[in-house]
This record gives sequence, C-alpha cells and structure tokens, in this order.
Amino acid sequence: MEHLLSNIQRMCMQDGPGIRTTVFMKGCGIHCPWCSNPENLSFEAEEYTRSDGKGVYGSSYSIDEIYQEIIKDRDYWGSDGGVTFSGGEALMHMDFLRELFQRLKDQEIHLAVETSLFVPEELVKQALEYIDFFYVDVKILNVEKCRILLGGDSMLYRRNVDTLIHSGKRICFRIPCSERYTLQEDNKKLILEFVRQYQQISIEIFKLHRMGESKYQSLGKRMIEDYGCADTVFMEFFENLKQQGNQVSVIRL
Amino acid sequence: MKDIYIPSLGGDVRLHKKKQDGSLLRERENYKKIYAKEFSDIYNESTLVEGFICMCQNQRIYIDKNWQFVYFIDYVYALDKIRGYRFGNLTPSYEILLSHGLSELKYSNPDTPFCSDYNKIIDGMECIVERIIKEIRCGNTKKSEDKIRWFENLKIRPAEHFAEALQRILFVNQIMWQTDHYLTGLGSLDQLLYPYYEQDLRTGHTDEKTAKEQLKEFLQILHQYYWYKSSMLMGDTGQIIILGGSDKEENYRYTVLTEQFLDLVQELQLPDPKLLLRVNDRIPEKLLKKALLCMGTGVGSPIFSNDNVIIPALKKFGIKEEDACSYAVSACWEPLIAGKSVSLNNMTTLNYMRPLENLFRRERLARLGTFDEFIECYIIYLKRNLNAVKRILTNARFQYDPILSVFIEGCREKQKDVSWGGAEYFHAGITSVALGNVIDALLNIKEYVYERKKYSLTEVRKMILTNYAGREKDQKALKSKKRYFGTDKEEVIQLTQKIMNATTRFTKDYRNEYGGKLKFGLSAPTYIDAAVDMYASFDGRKYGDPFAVHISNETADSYTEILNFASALDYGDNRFNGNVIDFMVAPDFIQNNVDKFVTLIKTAIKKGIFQLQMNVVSSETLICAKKNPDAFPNLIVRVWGFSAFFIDLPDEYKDILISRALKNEGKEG
Repeated sequence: MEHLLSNIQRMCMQDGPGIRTTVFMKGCGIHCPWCSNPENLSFEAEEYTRSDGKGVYGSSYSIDEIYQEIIKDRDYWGSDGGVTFSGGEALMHMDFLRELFQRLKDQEIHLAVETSLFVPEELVKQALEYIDFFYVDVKILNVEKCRILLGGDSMLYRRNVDTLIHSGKRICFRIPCSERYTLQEDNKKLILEFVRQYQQISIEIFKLHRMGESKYQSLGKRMIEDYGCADTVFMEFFENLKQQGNQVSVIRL
Repeated sequence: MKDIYIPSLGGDVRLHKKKQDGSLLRERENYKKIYAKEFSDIYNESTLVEGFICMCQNQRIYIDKNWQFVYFIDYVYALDKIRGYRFGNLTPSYEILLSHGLSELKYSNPDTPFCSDYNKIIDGMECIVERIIKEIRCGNTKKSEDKIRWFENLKIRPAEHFAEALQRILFVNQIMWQTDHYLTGLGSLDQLLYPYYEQDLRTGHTDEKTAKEQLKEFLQILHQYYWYKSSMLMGDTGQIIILGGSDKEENYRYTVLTEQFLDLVQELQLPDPKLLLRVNDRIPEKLLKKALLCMGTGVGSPIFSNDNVIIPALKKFGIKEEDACSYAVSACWEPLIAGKSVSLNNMTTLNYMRPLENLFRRERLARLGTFDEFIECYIIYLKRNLNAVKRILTNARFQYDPILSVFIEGCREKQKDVSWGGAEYFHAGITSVALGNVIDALLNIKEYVYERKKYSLTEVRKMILTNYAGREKDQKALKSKKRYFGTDKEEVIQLTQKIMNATTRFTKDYRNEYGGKLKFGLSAPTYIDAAVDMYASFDGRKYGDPFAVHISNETADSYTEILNFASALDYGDNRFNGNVIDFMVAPDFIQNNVDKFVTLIKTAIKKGIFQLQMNVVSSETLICAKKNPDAFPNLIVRVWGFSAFFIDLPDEYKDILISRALKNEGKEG
C-alpha cells in the first residue's frame, strides 16, 4: 500500500522534544483561512508552478520507504527526540500509518503528532495506542464560526481534547495568533476559558507568518492578507494566559 | 597610501582604513619592497644567519605603553628572502623557551657549522632581549619592573609565572613572524599555560581576574599586525589556538583556561586569533554548549576537530601515541604535531577535476561501455595526476632555517637543521579540491548517460568543452538539481570512498628524502583559484566557476544528512590531512536551539565526523554588507579555514558566501 506525503523533513527543532524528523501527510479535514501548508489541504497530488519549473506536491511512499527515510536520523534523536507526524491532519491518515506507528513503537522511538483534533473520536482513541506526545491546536471555539471558518465541528473537537486529557498522554496546546481570527474578542474569551480548565497542559503561542505564501502562489492561489497580530495584542494575550495560571511560552516558527 | 598602517611603528592594525576591493595585500607587498630595500642591500650579501644577526641589532624596538606585554614586528627587517621551500604553516615549540633560558639552549662546544649557526641565532635573540630591556629602562612604561624581570629571566632560566609565560610565547611568536615564517600557529595554550596559571593562583602570585585580563591582552596583541600576518587573503593568518582534547585513555581533558579562551574570543569579537576546539564523545556538554554559543555569535570560532577519528588515524600513520594525543593543526585544519613537526601540510593541491577533464579531452569515449568502466578510467587519469603531484613534492628544496630549528624539537638533539630532517616529523601534506564537483558530475553521468540514456558521452564532452554552448537549458537543469555529494545515499558514500581509497593507493608508498610520508585531505583553500582555467563540468558548473567548498552541500535536506555522509567516510591510512564539513547557519538558529545543537554535534562526534566549521550569518546581512560595507565593519565570516572581516574579502569570495547562504535558506535554486 502506498500513500501520499508532501515531505519528510529531517532535523526539525520545533516539532516536539529533542531533534525530530517530521512527516507531512497530504490531506486535511478542515481549511483554516491562514493555513501555512496549503499544499497539504487536498488528499490528491497537485501540480504546482514555480519560477524554476513545474512539479507535483505529493509523492507516493510505501510504509517501508517512509521508514527507511526517517530512520536515517535515528542517532540524532537521543533520549527525547523522535518522529513527528504533521500535515495536513496526521490523524486522518491513521489507517495507513498504523503499521508504521507499530514498527516505530516496537523500536521504542518517541512519536508525536501535530493535530487539530477535528477527526472522528475513534481515530484519536487508536492514536493513543502509539503516540507519546500530542501538539493540539486551539483555534476557533464558537460552534457556528468554527463550522464556517474552518469547516470543523467544535463539539467533536472538545470531546477529543477531553479524551486526550483523560489518557494522561503528554500534550501541548498550540495557539496561532491572529487579531481577526483566533484573538478576535469573543474567541479570545472562549480560548482563555477553555485552556483555564487545563492548567497542567503547557501552551505555545505564535504569531501567524507568511512563510506559506510562495506555496499558495505555486498553486495559483492567494494567501489571505489580514492575518496579522500586533505585538501589543499578542503580548496582552500572553499575559492573560499567564495571569490565569497557564504555563505559556512564545515560539517562532 | 597615507592611511596604510606601517607595522614598524606598532599600534593597532585596525587603524588602517578598510578597503573593499581586497587590494590591501597588494599594497602590503609594495610596502615590503620599499621598506625592505634598505635592509636587503646588507642582507643580499650575507647568509641567513648574518642577516638575522643584522636584523636583531638593527630592528626597531617598539614598546607600546598601553600594553603590559612587549610585542612588535619591524617591517623593514622582515627576513623574507626565499631560498628554497620556505617553512611556514606550522606551530613552533613554545615549550622550548618556556622551559629554558636562552643561554641554556646554547651548545657548549659548537664544533659543527650547524651548532655554530644555532648559537649565533641564540646570540641574536639575546641581543634583542638586551635591547628590549634597555628600551624599557629608558621609557617609563606600564609595569616596567615586571617586564625587566621577565626579560632578564628569559636570558638565563625557565619561565616561572603565568604572565611571564605569556610574554615568552609572544616573544617566540614575534621572532617567528619577524623572520617571515608565515601562518604561525599557537598550539595547545590551555594545556601549556595551565601549570603556570594553577601555581600562581595557588601561591597567591596572581588572582583569577588579573590573569584573565592578561589573557585578554595577550589575544588583543596577537590580533595586531593582522594585515602583516595575513597570507593569501586578509585574515588568513594561521594564528590558531588549540583547546581541549583526548588524553591517552581517551578521557576528555580541558582546563579553566579552555573556558576562558572561549569567553574572551566571544567577548572580543575579533576574527584573530582563531580557536580550534578538539572534541571527543566524552566532552562535557557544558563545554560544548559554551563553544556553540561562542560560535553562534558569528565570531567564526571555534572549529571542532574530532579526536575519536583523528588520533587513531595519526597513530596508524606512524605518529607516537603521546604526540598523536597532543596534535595541533596547521593554519586551517591539517593535523600536525606542534613543535615537533615541520610537516608541510599544504605543499600543493590535488585537483580532482583535472583527471576528469583530461579523460574527456583525451580518452576514446566509445570504449567506456559501462559506468564501472568509466570510473576505472577516471582512476587511471587520477593516478597520472598524482604522479605529477609527487614529482612536485620530490623536487621541492627546503630553506636552511636555523631560526626555526631552535623552536622545533629534535633539531638541537640531533644537531640537524629542520631542512636536513632535524625535526621529529617530516611528512608532506597535500590538500584537495573539487571532489564534490567530481562526484556530482560522475553520478550525473551515471544517471543521464548510462541509466536514462538522455545524453551520449560524446554529447557530454561537447557540453563541457564548449561551456554548454547552445545547451543552456541542460546546464541550468543540472545546476538546479539537488547535489549528490554530501548526502547520505549509499552510492554517494561508496563512490566518494572509492576515489579517496584510490588516492591512498597511489600515494601511500611515497617517501620524501627524510622518510616522510604523504597525506591528503578533502579541504582546500583553492576552491576559486584552482577552478579558474578549468572547463565546465557535468554538475552544471560553467567554465572557470569556483568549485564547491570542502565537505559542503547547501542543497542537502538537513545538517544530519551531511553529517551522516561525512561520518560514513573512512579517514584512515593517509586521508586525514584536514576534512572539514562547512555549514552555513542562520543567526539565532544556534542560540534558539542550543541544547538541541549540543545533541546534534555530540551525535556527529560519536558517529565519526572529522572536523566541522560553521558560518553563522544570513544572506540578508551579507548582501547588505556587500552593498554598504561601512555599516558592517565588524562582520566576521569563515573563508576557507580561517575567519576574517567580510569587508576585507575580494568580491568573488563575498559572492560565494552570499550564494551559499541563499541556498541554505532555501531562497535560491
């Protein structure tokens, strides 16, 4: 069985504990307006055009091919590093990845996923068998807005977060900050309320960036313009989180 | 010409106005001619020993009142007459003069011409010492009493204290540079100085703060004369200080001075002197972290050198265990035994592209039906090239040099000059260039000619010899491909090793007239110069364009990929004459991820990389600095094995760094 991946990136410093190799799965269940990996939204291969020529986002890999590629850096992972699955939505690819997870788990390799958690509860439960560390995005929490902006079911999201929390696995919340979206006044309140329940979970916040812009262009799409976040707003949010007792840090992606 | 600093007057070399076109070195040569004329009238008629004596009697004694140490070089009296192959690119034994007074070194019965010359050289140095003492007495300089005592001691007995030891090292170093021994290294100063430091602190002779201030001044003084000391390019001084390293039991040894050197170089932010940190898999993470943070500031130091790989290679080559464990390096990376070795580590460069070019020009290509046959044919041409290299080495004649003989162990005991094989080790070293381009070209030939059959060998020949005339599209496609060399694909590693092993096969039996062997490595300063008259190559490189730098690959997926590649290579036999991986690293990347970087480097050491240096700089800064040099007077980069001010470099070197940084950041093809 083969499956589409957009990239296997070695020596990632920001995708979990230690040095990691990150596997980017192609295909996502939601569509955040600010997405920085537009090439990973569709489950199909997509042709792109760049100044140096045409190409295709998405290459087919077998489980063994992925394994051989990621295992090259095993020596550098040390005791805390390992492999992170990202995307797109890594958990949407559970059926394909299960065999790989098992193979890596058998070798006691530390596994992480970056997930938005907008996936069927069953998939989350399956992932719990293998995954040691979860990066969980916190984005839009109002039911209606979540449906419109992201195309996601925020009640499902909340249930999945609950499942994860009760599993006792290591979790880190990641909050992408944008004045227009995530930090819009009502949503900001909802986020603060939401994470207040989970004081034991560390939080990483970051400002949205334009690093995905050239990928949008290569696909003949345009990246949204009004994604920004003023320093003052960003730092105020940081302070709000701190004041209510959350462990929060700022990261630069 | 007025703003040019004249070294014979002392002072800070940074006084000279920076020039952006790399013309400083040419002007220096003109100055040398003008100022040396007066001296050369006397010198031309005399032997080297007489010339040295004349220099000692006449050179200007300059004592800078701002410093507590004495250090000066008088340009006018630089002994730069070349009579045979000049010794340089090495580290003298500072130890000899730390553990002896000058008079103690003399032969009591100088009954051979060498012994007599040797004693005359010591006489000359005694003369300088006398003149220095006299000058100190005349002037009212800082800490005159200390200085007088140090120099009085220098005449007759070993050094006793830390500051005195620093002064003696400066004295030896000054003599070496004054007599134009280019690229003079400094050796393992953290080990050499430690006994003096420890004793002075224990006895209360000095305190930590004073000693650190003295060490700082020592470094600042060595940075003076930067212009005079630079060899091929500004900053190419060879002033390298070796820190840390394995002992015989493979434990990691370092001292508090190791940390102080790192702290001070980070604080001073000067490209000179440079640091090399010897590392092994037992290096404390704390020290590695300190070194990485120092490097992360962009000062260009330290470079890492892996004892786990280098010491076994040296031992196997025939270096005594004790000496192997105390190795230093020539100006850049090539291992040598400080004070015991006159190994000329960079006698010439092997250009791996030359045999490939010759193959295309001379060979009947139709007979090369398979890729294996093509490789075998390349290796035959490589052998011919190496024969030429060996002829160059055999024909070299060395300069009679009793001055250096004073500071190289073995000469005094054997009563033999360095040029007659007096030193403990007399091996010959060559560097090499373009192996990366050759590997890329060969694997492209495999892919496009033998596998995909897109081109015939004749077409490839035509593209190469015509500089891709009418085939610009093909050239561009080759150029923008991800490079093979420096990736961890098995076929890349195997082919690289095959060519390295062939080089060993054709060089291992070479012996020079003193029994010295031949060694080589995969790093060379000549990636621009060696490429100027070379045809295009099948890696997309055009006629005359520079070769790739050392072991580098900006198109690699990650640093781990090139680290895996480099650590998979076998550097044994004679393949250890400097093999440096060269990274471009974006500023902040180390600082933001320092603990993970410690893991990365420590793993790479365990896996068996040979050496590693990093250029910590962004393309944006480099581009701005090239356009607007005045705004970036202190920007430091690593060029080949040395660090230098960016603005001092010729444009072609600046452009290579900019292009590498862009590629590293994923901003260019």
